[in-house]
Amino acid sequence: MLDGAVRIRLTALTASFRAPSFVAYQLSLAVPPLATIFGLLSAARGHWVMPHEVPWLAYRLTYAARAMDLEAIYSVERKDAADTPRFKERNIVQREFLVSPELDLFLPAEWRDPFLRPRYQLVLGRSQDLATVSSIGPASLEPVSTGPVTGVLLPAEVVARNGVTAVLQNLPVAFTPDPERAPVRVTMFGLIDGKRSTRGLQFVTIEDGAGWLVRDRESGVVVPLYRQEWILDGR
Amino acid sequence: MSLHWTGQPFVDAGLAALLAASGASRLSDVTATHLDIAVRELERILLSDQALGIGLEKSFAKGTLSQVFPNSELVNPSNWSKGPEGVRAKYRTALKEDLARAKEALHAERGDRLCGICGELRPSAGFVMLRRDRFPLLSGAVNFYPGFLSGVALCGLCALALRFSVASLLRVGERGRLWFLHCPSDIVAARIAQEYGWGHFRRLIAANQPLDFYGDWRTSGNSGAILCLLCQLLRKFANQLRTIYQHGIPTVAYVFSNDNRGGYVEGIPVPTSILDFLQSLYLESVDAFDQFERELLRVDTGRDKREEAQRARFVATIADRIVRAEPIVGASLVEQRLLGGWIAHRTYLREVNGMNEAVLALLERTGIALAQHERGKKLIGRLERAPARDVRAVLLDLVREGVLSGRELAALLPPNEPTSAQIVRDVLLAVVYEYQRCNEVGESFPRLVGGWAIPEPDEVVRRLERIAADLIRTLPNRRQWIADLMTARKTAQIRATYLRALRSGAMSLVDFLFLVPLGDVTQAWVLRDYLLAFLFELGREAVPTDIELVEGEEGATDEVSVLAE
Repeated sequence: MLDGAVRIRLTALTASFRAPSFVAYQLSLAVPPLATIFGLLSAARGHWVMPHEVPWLAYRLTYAARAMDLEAIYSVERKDAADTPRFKERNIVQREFLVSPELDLFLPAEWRDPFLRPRYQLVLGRSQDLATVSSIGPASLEPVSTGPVTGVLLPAEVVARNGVTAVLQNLPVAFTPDPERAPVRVTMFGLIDGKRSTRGLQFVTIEDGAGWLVRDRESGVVVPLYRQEWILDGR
Repeated sequence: MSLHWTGQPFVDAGLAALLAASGASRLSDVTATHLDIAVRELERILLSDQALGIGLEKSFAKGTLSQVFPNSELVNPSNWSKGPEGVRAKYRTALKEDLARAKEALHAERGDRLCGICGELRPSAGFVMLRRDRFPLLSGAVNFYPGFLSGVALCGLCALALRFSVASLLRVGERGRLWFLHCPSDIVAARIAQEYGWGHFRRLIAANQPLDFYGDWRTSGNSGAILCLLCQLLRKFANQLRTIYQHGIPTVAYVFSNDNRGGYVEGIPVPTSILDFLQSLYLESVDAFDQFERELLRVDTGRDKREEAQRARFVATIADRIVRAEPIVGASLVEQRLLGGWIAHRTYLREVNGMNEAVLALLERTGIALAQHERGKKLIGRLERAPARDVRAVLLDLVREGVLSGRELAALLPPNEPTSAQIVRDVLLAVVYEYQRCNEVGESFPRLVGGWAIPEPDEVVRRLERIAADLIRTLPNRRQWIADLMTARKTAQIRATYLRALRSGAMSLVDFLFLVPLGDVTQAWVLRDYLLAFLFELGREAVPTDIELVEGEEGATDEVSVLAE
């Protein structure tokens, strides 16, 4: 049981989490990768937060719709590693985004203050996806073996164990600070879509949580909990 | 370090094809020897005359393949300046280098650099920077690469795997788009590559025809191609695939175009319930499985253009609905006929839409009763024309006629689920049409076998049943009271009728408040209908048979109205 946790709800008009598999085609993932959450924590605290600074975290993201935006870019050309990057031409690219995202973050109690007064602007994706903290409340997470989930990232083995519909993606769990920004670890996740429809949220029932699931007693939300050891070493 | 699925769709597609060509049975069993075998096969196929288009009208390498790997070694004009042998030499050299890096990565215990694709630590020396000529869907512009890097750095194994992805790609048949199934299963993914990649290429080479991706689906739309592939796989490799289909593995179909003039990529997750459905249907009846595919997913050529276009639109709509796990029975009712067969629809309703087997059996029984009813034509016509909000009234008439009980009505259309009216209507019509067709051709209707008990009613339904029983026992002038309740046009008239029962002591104040809750007009009409159902059932002799049931406009909910449209 994790008493004294906080549940932070962030809302925004838009969000975009670029699927890393398609570099030039900006499809958005339905759920942000862990690396994006660490970016959010870094913005709130005002310095680069690495996984060893967070004992555990859990989250889910729901959204109202997907939409496609067109944006102008100034293409940068670089023929090879030795070539200097230079602007080439103006072009139009498509960018997928999520509408009205709601991110529920469950964190240890010490994260209450950074999110009450974030050091930098919070965003759900890129700089235009401005987010706001709409509520911060107490949470009490208890382990559960089964439960309905939506808008979450599940480790691939949990997805396989339960045979649920998911989109598999290899995603970074965190990045090292600038200038290298190398992934700390990359692993395969199953994304459970959290689109809100007129009939409400559609849940996927996980019958065998394999020790991953927790339920917030206050809100009833079931989410996978990522422990620090797993984020760092996959154990 | 062994090979494993990565989660990167193109690399996994390549790994599947590599596994199929290598002869290994599992990805984790792949050794350096297997890599050699697979590379030899890739080289044999892609450097064949039929791939390069030598002596043939079309060149796969410079045509379709260049859409996947633009300006690759097989396309680059400078390589072609020395003729086909120049191209072959260039490709062999590049492949040899990739193979060496892959072997190094396979042998290394643990490297010092993390591969962003497979997530393994590999030796830095084995990394290679790939651009769009080697990695599908990368951009020529470097805006999207971290730090404006000149490409994406991959370990040797992932880079080699990408070369193999060609044997996992399929053609949709529309607008030159290609697709593949991202399905990290040693059996399914390798089978697809074996049958529709390598096998297809070998057959074309043997017939001295130019290579191309497999795309003979005779269907319409992206979803149609996906479903036809799943059907074909199940038919061809039923034994091997059964376990996979039963357990369901995350499967996403990626449809893409890497065309310079307008790239496109879309990921279409295939719900695991669809795999369950196909598997269950195949096990239940191969004929029903064939009928489902033939009538709902196939577009035959040879019709006139207009008919063919119409059929293509129909198939694309149905297939899209299936892939989104939406109900299809309504869309399959065409000219008073059910396309796809009742067995398939019944299985779909159970496996995909989650309909209870007892409710399905009840719908079957009700539909058949409707078809056999002496006023069947009129009732069926009413059901065909009924918008969703009027379906309850039609079923209520069946209760009045004794075809359904009050509890059965509540099981078919639970009071708290107004949205189920549309699907109940569609399923009833489907059963009616199929029953009529069976009678015409002298077949027996394929009814569900077994005795099914309808689910226990909830508290609301039990309470309505109890109120109805009290009313039947204690109401003076029951017949007139029921007639007044049936013909009420306004909520106020319903309330007035209940008040009469309250005044005569046949109804308690608590029940009165339950039946006409303050400020909830819709609920008052819903509860009236179910109360009438139990009154019809329990006091049959007091039910007027010559009075039309009135459904007041106030009872329509927005949600049901929208569905009806």
